[in-house]
Amino acid sequence: MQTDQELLESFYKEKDNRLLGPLLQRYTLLLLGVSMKYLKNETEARDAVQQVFMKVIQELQHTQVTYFKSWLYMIVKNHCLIQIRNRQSKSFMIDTDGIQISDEVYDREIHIDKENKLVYLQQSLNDLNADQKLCIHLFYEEKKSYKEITATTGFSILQVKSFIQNGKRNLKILVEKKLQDESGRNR
Amino acid sequence: MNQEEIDNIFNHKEYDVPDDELIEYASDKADTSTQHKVEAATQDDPFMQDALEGITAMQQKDKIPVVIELLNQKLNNDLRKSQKKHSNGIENINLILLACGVLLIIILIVVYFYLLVG
Repeated sequence: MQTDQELLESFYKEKDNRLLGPLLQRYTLLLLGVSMKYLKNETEARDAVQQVFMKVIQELQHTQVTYFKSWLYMIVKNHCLIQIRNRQSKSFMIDTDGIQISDEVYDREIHIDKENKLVYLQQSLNDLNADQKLCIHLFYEEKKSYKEITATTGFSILQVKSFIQNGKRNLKILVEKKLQDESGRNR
Repeated sequence: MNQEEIDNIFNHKEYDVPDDELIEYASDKADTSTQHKVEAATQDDPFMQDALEGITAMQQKDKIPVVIELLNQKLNNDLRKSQKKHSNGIENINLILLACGVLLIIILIVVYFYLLVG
C-alpha cells in the first residue's frame, strides 16, 4: 500500500485531482469523528467533512505538505472551531493549544542508544511507582486492553490511561537521564 | 520486554486501524486484541483520540459505513468534476493560442502581399 507521502507526491507530479481520492478516503472516518466531537451534530459533521475535503483540494494546489495526517488534523479542527464560533456568533478565541501540531507528534523519536536502552528500561521500570509499573507491564508486555487492565487491577479506565501515560513519560525521563549520566562519565 | 515493545513505548508508531475495527471499538463490540490495538494506536495520536471520541458519540454506529461510502462517492465526483474543469481550461487556452497563431500568420501574409504590390 502506498504511503500518504507517496500518494501526495504522485499528485504534485501529475497535478491530477483524482489522485487525491485514495488519500482523502483513508481519513473520511477520522474526519467525521473529529467533526462530530466538536460540532456534536451528525448532519453538521457530514457537511463539515465535505467542506474540509474541498478546502484540502484547494489548499493542496499551492501548498507543499510534508506530514499530511497532522496537517489534515489541523485543518479539520480549525474548521470545526470556526463553525462553532460562527454558530455562537460572538467573540470567540480559537484555542490554539494543540492545534499547531508539530511534525514531532507523528515523527517523534527519542534517540536512545539501542544497546543500553533495554538495560536502562528494565532498571527504570523498577523506579516507577507500583501502579504505573503494573499498568505499563499489562499494556505493553501482556498486550491487555484498558478494560482487561481495569478488571485485573480494579482501577478505573481513566486511572489506567493516566498510569500508562505518566508511566511512559517517567520512563523516558529516567532512561534519558541514565544515558546522559553515562555519556557524562565517558567524556 | 522485547525490542518491539520497547519501540512501542519510546517511539510513536503509526498503526493501521481499519475503519470497521474503530467502529467496533466505539460500539463496544471489539474483542480484546482489537481493543488493545485501537488503544495503542490512539495513545499518542490526538487526531485518532478526537475521532474516536466523536465516533463513540454517534447515535447509529451501524450506519457509519454507509455515511462514509456516500461521503467518498461525493468526494470522487467532486474530484472528477474539478479535474475536468481544470483540463477544459487548459484545452481552451490551447485553442485560443492556436487561433491567435493562425490569425498572426494570415496578417503577415496580407501585409507581405500588400507591401509586394505597393
